[in-house]
Amino acid sequence: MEPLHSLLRRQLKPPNGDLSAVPEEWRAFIQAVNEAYRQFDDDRTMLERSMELSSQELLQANADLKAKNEARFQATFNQAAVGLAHVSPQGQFTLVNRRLCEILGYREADIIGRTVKDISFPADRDVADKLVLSLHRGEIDKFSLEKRYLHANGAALWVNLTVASVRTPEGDVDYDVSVIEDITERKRIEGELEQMAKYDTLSGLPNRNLLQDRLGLAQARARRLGQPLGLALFDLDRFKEVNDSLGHSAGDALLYELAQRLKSNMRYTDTVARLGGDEFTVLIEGCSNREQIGVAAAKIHRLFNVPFMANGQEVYSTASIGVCVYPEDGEDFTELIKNADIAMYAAKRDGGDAVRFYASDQQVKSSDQISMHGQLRRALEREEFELHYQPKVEVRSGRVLGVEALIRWRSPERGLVMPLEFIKLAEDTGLIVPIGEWVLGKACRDLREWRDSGLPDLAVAVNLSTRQFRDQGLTAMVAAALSHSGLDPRSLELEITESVMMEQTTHTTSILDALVGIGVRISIDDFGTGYSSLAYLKRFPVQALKIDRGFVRDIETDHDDAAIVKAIVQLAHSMNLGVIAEGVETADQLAYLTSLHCDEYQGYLFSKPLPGDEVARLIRSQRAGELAAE
Amino acid sequence: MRTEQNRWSEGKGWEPAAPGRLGASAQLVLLFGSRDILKSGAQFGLVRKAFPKAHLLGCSTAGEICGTQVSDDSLVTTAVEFEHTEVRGARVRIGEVKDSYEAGERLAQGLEKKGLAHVFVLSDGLKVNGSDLVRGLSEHLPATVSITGGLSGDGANFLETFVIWDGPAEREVVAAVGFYGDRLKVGYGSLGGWDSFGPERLITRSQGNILYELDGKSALDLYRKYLGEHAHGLPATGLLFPLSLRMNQDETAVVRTILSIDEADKSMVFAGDVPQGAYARLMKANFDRLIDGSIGAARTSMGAASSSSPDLAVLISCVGRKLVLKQRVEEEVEGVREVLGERSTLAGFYSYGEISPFTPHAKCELHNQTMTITTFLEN
Repeated sequence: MEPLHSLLRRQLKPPNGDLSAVPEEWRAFIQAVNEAYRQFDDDRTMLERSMELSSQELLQANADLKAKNEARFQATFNQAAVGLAHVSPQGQFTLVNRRLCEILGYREADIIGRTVKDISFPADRDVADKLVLSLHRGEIDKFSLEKRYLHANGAALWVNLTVASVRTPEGDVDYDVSVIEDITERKRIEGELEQMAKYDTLSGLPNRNLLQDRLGLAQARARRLGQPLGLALFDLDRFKEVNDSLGHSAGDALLYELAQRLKSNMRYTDTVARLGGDEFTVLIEGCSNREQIGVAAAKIHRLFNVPFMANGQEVYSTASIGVCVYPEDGEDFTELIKNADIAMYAAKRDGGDAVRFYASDQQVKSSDQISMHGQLRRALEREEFELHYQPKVEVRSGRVLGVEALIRWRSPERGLVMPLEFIKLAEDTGLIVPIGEWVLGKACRDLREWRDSGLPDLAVAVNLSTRQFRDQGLTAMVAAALSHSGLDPRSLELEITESVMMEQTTHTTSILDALVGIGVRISIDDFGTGYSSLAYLKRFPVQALKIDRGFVRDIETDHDDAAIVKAIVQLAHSMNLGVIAEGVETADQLAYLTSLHCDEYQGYLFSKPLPGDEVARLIRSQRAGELAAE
Repeated sequence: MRTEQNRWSEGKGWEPAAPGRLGASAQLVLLFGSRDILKSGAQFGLVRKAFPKAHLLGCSTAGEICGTQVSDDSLVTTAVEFEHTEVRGARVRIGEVKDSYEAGERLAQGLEKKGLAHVFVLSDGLKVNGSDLVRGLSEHLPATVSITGGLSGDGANFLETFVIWDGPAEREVVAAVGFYGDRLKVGYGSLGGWDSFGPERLITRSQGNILYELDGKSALDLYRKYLGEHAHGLPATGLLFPLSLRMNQDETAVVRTILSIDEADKSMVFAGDVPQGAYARLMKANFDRLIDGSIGAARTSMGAASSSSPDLAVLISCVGRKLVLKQRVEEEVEGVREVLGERSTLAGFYSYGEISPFTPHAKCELHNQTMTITTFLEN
């Protein structure tokens, strides 16, 4: 029998655990109660024990889990490819990972306790303040920005910073988690890309984009100061020839040297830019009037007085410089560039190597191109073209031997239009072919009429453009004009330019042969201005050379020009070709030409181009005079 | 249905009288007795003679239930005479524990399927993997046939268990009786009432129903630590801490109880599978919840019996509950009685494992630490 439970023993006092003192019939009952007491104790002990053990196990499991999480956190934290930091709400680093130490060049111990501002680049120290405030107020969940930190070695380094807050269960900011990416390299590349986007790689000068930016700023300054702003746009005359003859590297060297000259000679307030190719601009600031802008433009012009060194060779170059002025000539970039361009082309049209200011009538012409095209097309139908004739005079006798037919367009919208203004457009649009046909037909008819009316044998010269020469039907057209008018082919002279001779030689030869076969005379117009290859003179059936007016103008004063004219005359004569001088305006010029044994001349000295009836009258009166003299 | 229930013990002999009132009309006699009584064969001849035409099905136990009384070292016989139901049975030898599934399969093959409504099975309680046995049996029976039963017991000794089928008690045997006929309503319910506690542990090493390690540490050591001075009472005292098992978060936890331990390889044999990769938690008893569990099982078993009191209820409760409830063990039987009503005959035993679906229409499973009730009602 089990000993009694202490409590039961106490309860059974006075028998005091001595069951023998308990009546027999109670003993089994007391035993059962006793057993229950023990069982309850046992169960309670077991329960307490198991609770204690499982609490210990759970504590241990919790500790293991924490350690595991901590290890996992440390591994992740320190192996992250980006910089990571915990920052106290006061801005102090409390935890930093390995990568951040690498980025900043500090040891961990050197960063912990320091503030974010301590390691920030001075100018960027406060850039995140407002965002941090918003973050801590709960207005935003996180923020990202790019700023500069200071490397331990003192260098600035760019980082992309992303910050989010971790809050306590009460909602206060516990700490901020910062993700820090080193973007210094990216920034460097961005800088390079920006350089490429804004600067020309060959010259290092600002490009069109940057020029546009600078113009905007300059305009604002100009408005504020009440000053004008000059925009000089220029390109090199015949730059293509430099590239073609010396190679592109020489061309590039020339452009580079030009860029250096511009940079060192223009004021630092002036923006020199390269727009592409051989096109440059200078934005001229700080001038109080157009004259001062002109002085600056002239300075650009003078830079070309000194030859350039291109691949060890001295190269002379000239520029056509167009200038426009803000605000008079244009309000915005596009308009200013366009107008400077118009001015530049005006300079080019006048032979290049010049400075031209933009004038509004230049613009009228170019903006009018489209409507001119329509009007030009209708001009043929409306019979708005007419021919003027300039006499060609024999130097030796002073007699008119022939005339050069020159087209005029009497436009109802434009008045009398000179060929310089519309022939280019006619060539570009192909209208030159029907116009040329009309000219030829009209010239032949006029001449035939004059002959029928009793004028002596005259020759008529008609200009053929390159474009017409490409036309397959040229020979047939010439033949038709002759047959329709009944003009003697020998009375027709066709003037072609040197460039025609240079193009498509086989084709050209066969056409010229065919024309000569008909009986027509061929002469070379503007001789001396083009390629001046003597080879073609031998190859082609040419009868005469016309000396360009440019050589004639200064023939008495310019030794070179005189030498050239002399050489042309001698050359022509040696090849049994006739020589005609154009643009003779003074008696002195004529005297000189006479001394060189030039055959014929034309120019204002004898007569400007005149309408058909007037020239007929002039010739008739000259002949009458001769007759009278005889 | 008529029943006759008698109990024999060494001291008191047969109560209320020697069996035999139903005599040759009894078709089935359930015998639940202590290992020693069954092993000795005492009273077997008497019972055989008393019910000459009945099939005898029984097993050794860890406590016999007779009405609302729970006794040890006794033999309780419950003879049944059905009005509209036939019973036929089968018995197979288990052989090796690993062949448990196959034993279930053979047992199923030994049962006539035609008209089969329910199978009640009793198995050796130690030399078996109860989970495999149930799988083998249920997978080879028509899906409409319900299965209940239990594993035989050996008090708190866990040494040897016996099963009776129409002859003397045998070890390493499984026997089953099939009930045929459409007038028999069988109900069942199974509930535990244990509470899980402490951390969840991963089964890191196990094989079938043999457990070696939890969280990489010896499971046996863990049990020793928790049992403290009661560790010397293993394996029986291991029943105080059954294991709650689940394969994943969504699954209903099953309860596993210890059958034996092996000091040599520090292993513990459980009554059913303890699969590697499953999560286990220790469980502990709570008196009130254990008794509520029994009542719940009774309510569930009533569901299929159309709310009428059943004629017979077979209660199979786990030895672990008896070890915890001790003097109060009868409270759970009384709880069942209150639900089922006075006219039901209550028979049953404390087992080493219970076999039943958790709920009607669920898959039949091996349970531990539950009260599992099968109710029979003829109409």
